[in-house]
Amino acid sequence: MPLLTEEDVKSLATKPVINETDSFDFYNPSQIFQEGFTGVSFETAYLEALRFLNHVFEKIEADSGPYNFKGKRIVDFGSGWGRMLRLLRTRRELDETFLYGCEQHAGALRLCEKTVPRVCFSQTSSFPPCDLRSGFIDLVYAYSVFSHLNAPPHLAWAQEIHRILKPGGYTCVTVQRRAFISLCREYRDGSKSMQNNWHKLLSGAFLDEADCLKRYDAGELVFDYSTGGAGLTNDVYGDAIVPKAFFEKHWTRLGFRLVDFFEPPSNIHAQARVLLQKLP
Amino acid sequence: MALLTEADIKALSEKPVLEENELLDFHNPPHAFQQMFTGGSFQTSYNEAAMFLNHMFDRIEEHSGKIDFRGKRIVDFGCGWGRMLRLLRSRPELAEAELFGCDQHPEALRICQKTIPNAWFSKTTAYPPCALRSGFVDIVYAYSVFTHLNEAPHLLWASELGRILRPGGYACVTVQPRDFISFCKDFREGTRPPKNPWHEALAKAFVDDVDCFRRYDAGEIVFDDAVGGAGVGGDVYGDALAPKAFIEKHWGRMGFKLVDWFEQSEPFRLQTRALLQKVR
Repeated sequence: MPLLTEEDVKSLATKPVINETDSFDFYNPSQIFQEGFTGVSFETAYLEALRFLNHVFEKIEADSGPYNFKGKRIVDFGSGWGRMLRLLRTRRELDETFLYGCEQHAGALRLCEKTVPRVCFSQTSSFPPCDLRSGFIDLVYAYSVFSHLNAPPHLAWAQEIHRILKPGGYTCVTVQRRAFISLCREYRDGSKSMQNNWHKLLSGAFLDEADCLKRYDAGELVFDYSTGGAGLTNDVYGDAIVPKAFFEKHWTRLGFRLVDFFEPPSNIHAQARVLLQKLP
Repeated sequence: MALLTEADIKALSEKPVLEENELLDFHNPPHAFQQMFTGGSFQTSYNEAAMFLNHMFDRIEEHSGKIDFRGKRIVDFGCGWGRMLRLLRSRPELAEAELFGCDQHPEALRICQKTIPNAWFSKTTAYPPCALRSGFVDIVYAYSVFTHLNEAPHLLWASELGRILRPGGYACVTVQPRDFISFCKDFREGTRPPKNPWHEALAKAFVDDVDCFRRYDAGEIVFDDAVGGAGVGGDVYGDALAPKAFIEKHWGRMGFKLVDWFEQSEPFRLQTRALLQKVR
């Protein structure tokens, strides 16, 4: 049975909206604030988070047996407005789990500190390090982080995650998949209709489709900064499509074992989820 | 000129009391909550904190010249309800300094997170480790922490502070002075009237004063768990007198150099302040 249920989602999604004069546990940020992160808000956003987290724990359990949360240290790397940490913090199974959130967005961190209890937050910048001590963490997940990073920050953060993980600890990161290249072309040539500003920006990305596909199939990280954003420079932040072979080559060299490379079959445009284990 | 002024104290003391439905930057916790930590509250409490911080920065500047706070990482170890971090965070000179707070008290940490912007908090337990990265910190201070620790946790935390400090970084800790033994005896014999429950508890501490003085003068840590508290076992937490010779010997062994030892006796009854530099 999955750890997180739709009841958890409903319970969180119906909490009141925070404003400047009140800040209660688990209050939500405003719709516009939430949408600034992943384009979705409230129930949709929580549901997306739930699916990802359940997937992570299911894959870990498939690899190494039932996951005992007691005393574990879990890091949400790129915690945004904290939708995943909110979900985890409300579960009784994680009452004795230490939760950490790392994020570069100062406003999101401030909001999380006010509304997400019993989680330690800290601010990161474009490149490592983070504040956490070495060999300290059991699990690091990064949803929609490596899907935006160019190769140098990607590799630097992979190494940093390796540093903070315990031997045997897991990390799960998401990246854009091969179909993302064609998706951008579809917006460009009108075969897929654009529904928001992000889609419009994507229509200008990965222009040389054939070359992008060639590089992806050769195991390269394919990056385009057309969509930009997040207040970061365009050599760091954009859209990144990362093949399995890239993980097998570069993360393995850093001391990881690739456990699972999952491309959701139900949605061809959903991000790929990559589970890795730091070698004991 | 001192970094922190009476105007800082006034400004902070006059901030509204934190109510359940208003959780804004720099709001204070209620009077009773503040008193739990050091007996004082509001202006008295901020005043004590400002004196300690000003003293520490003065001594560091005497030792190594003017401090440029930009990019400096400062840890308040045992931050309680955050009176010192509030003072530091409200100063424009420290706008670009990174501030961290560690404490074992979950409610205090929660209040700090909600009310102190741009500072990062993590929970500690009776013994190390803390969550922070090695060689990361420029200054760590611990006010009224080592005054309560028995020898074993004292030494382990001293080593941990050494771990997180960068070479050349400073630690400033407080310990009870030699005449604390007499202070307790005065309450016991009635020569000093107890003014609060803490004084009444102290009357039962360090009962064999002759032996306590002997051990102190021989360079030993002198510990008594008669007062207890802080939700920590009596083998860890009580009242502790640590002589200069103890600090020089044991912290020296861990790579620290004692820079300054500031001891003030009656009528001020301040905790003794030891400033140390990590030299290797």
